[in-house]
Amino acid sequence: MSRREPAPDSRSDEDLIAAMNGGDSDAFGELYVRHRDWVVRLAYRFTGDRDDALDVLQETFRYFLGKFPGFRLTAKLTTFLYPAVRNLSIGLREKKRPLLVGDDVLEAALGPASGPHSRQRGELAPALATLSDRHREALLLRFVDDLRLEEIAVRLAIPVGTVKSRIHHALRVLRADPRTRRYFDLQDDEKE
Amino acid sequence: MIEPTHPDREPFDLDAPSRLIEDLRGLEGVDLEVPPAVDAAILEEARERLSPPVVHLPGAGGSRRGSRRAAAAAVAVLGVAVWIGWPQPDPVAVIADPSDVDGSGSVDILDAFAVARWLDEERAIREARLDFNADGVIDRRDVDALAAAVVRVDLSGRADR
Repeated sequence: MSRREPAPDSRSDEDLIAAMNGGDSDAFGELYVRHRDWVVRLAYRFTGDRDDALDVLQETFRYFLGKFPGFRLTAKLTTFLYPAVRNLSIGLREKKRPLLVGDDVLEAALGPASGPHSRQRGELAPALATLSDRHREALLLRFVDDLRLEEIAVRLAIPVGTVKSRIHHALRVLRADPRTRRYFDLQDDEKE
Repeated sequence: MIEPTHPDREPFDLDAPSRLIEDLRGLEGVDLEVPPAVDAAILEEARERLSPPVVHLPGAGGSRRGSRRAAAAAVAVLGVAVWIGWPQPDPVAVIADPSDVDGSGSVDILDAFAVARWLDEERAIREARLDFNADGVIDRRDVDALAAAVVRVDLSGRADR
């Protein structure tokens, strides 16, 4: 008698999904471990609440499991999961806290500032909160998740030009905001 | 990166200061460790949803002695199957390929017998595909489950002839 133990798996996401279509729940376990932290972090960005983020984590993978058997991956798995996490998070946020506006959620998600630049960082959160959801989302996908413009366009199902416009607008607002202007001034000084 | 846009608009400035990027990432660096109970709940649900349905035979006993009994039962069922004309065109191929333990190309009572033999010899069996009843443990209950499913499908198929 032997208990199954997790072991490193070198198979690609596509291979694991093929295995899942054959009923292999261990393949799901590997995919889950690979993408779990990304899902919960993204959910936390939208919900600003740790427990809600964990609820979204479960619902997201339940949604994913519901696609089997017969699921075919036609893009990156994160591209497939992103709208699920986003919509589940927003739905949960609206259901549980209808009076909590987006800015509050963002400030909660960003948490208290700490570290060497804590004062400046502490002013960054409320400045970000002044951005619209769309502009803030594009900005964070680009500079926190480090996605290329084309990847953001696919993930949000919008043209690349719109992605550029949203990021440009977000940066312009931050440059004009006295709380975050210093970031840009420092950059301008370094260029000179 | 300054990119030209419509002639009437200002060009897109898509570069953020490095310090701003660093602080944006730092703001999101919240500890979000997922509790093991959440992991367990999700993985358990996956096992329930993805594993093929199995049928349990009544009367399960201890581990090693039980596996011997299961092996004996598998042999007995094999004898019955041979007596009634097995092998025939395989009506049990409805079971997923991972159950094809002996690699014969079809899933049949010999696969149950192979698992029973391995258990009796205490060979280390860690393949998830052998967990036919999806309880996380490879033991004689998996032999029972596979044997019961195979015989049920096999005999019901023959009854129609």
